[in-house]
Amino acid sequence: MQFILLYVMWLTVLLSAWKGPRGLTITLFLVACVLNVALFAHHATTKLNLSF
Amino acid sequence: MPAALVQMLNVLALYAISSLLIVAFSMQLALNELPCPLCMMQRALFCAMGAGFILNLVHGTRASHYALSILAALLGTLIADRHILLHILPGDPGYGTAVAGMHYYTWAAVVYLFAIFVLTLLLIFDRNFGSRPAKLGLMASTAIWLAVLLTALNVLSTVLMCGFGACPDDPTRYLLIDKLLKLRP
Repeated sequence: MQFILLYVMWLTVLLSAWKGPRGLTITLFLVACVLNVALFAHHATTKLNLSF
Repeated sequence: MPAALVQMLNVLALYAISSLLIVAFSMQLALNELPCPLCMMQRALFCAMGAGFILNLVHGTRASHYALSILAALLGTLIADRHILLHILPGDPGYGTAVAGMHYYTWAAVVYLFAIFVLTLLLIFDRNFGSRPAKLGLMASTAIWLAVLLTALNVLSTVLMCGFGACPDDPTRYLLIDKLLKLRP
């Protein structure tokens, strides 16, 4: 469900960039970025057995 | 840099992003390699990079539009690097089929880094920033249409793959199609 929402968000951003006002597009873009990072943090739970 | 050249570069960038999404879809359909959650995020951020180019084409070239694409590419690099590290240990076969010796996520990391490099170079040529956008030609309109269509197809693919529940970590089947087939008398 979260991934459907993620893609719908990015689709909305692209449509807004094409047909909508610039300010709205940038705002939606930043919201979608936050969603993307939250989703990444939620899924990046596997411990990496690596040393740097 | 002439405005027409800047517009052409933005159109080509959109076609490049669409090509990457088409390759991902081809592998998904031809090899039945369904995208994992990290793969889906990488695809999503390719779509996101397109927003900056579309803004440049529709509203005129601005540094802020390039910044959006760079931001998307940076997030994409973060996710692709994490994906590489998950499969970096010797003996790990990686996720999916390798294309030209590298897996999709490794190619994604290379493309994101290359995009950051090119976009940063384009920021140097700031004389055209803030200029009025040129009328969209057929090639530019098609590039935008294609990017939007491929993003919409990703929505559809995700709905078919995950249904309306959580997406599996290692997907092998289209869950919604399976569910609908089971419901059929």
